[in-house]
Amino acid sequence: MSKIIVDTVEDKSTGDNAGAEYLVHGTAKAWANLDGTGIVALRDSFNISSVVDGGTGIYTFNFNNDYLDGNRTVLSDQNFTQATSSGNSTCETAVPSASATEIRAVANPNTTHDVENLYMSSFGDLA
Amino acid sequence: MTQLMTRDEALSLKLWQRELVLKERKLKPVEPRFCIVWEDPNDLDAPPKVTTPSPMWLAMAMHGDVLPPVSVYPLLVDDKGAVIEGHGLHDNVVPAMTEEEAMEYLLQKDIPYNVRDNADGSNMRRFVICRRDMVPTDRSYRNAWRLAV
Repeated sequence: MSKIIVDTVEDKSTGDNAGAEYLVHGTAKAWANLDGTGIVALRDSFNISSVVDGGTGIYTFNFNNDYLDGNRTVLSDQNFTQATSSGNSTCETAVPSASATEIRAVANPNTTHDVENLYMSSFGDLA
Repeated sequence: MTQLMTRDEALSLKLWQRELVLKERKLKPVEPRFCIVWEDPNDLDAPPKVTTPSPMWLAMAMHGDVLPPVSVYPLLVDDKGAVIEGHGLHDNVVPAMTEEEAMEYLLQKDIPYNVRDNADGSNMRRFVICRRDMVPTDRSYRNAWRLAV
């Protein structure tokens, strides 16, 4: 495997540039695309060892390579074909930990529901 | 399974980098046949939980020379939840596993200790590894369903 060692990556035409540390540390360290209906199944993922179906609309993603601590971020979203036009959201509900994140898919009016597509990505410093 | 990464190459990379390289080399994800059904002793009114491995993780477990020994995971964190022995994830790898062995590995990695070891002293079994097609897909039934083995 070859390696490129640089300090900065610059766009040749615009001159826009970013430090290598930004690219290394600013990319998603884990992500998942989940079918949350029936027996839940990951369609694709990165740095996820398993997913837990914890009840209606409650999903926990376990990281394969843990984070340094709970000071990481999680972004999530859902695509639910039967969703009403507003009030659908996802949120992380357990205390943030280095090894896992629990996400709930919530529909209007404030009830959890199983979703056909749950998306999760996470950023932070890995152990 | 075709060998896409050697042990020496794996040890030159961080754990998360190994997955990136194997994805690039088209390691084929393995659709899991098994799952772990378990009850949380801290929340006995909750429905049983179902833990399913990631197909990519399972492929790496069955490929071998990618994942660390499972014994490193409990040693990672201190009592405040911060990782103090992170190098353990990257310093060693385990050989290829069968799918059944991978499920036992996952049980130790991702299922809480008090579920596996009956830390409260009870003799009730709180988990079972079973085929995924044995788990009811009907949510309203499953939410009222208890583990009986």
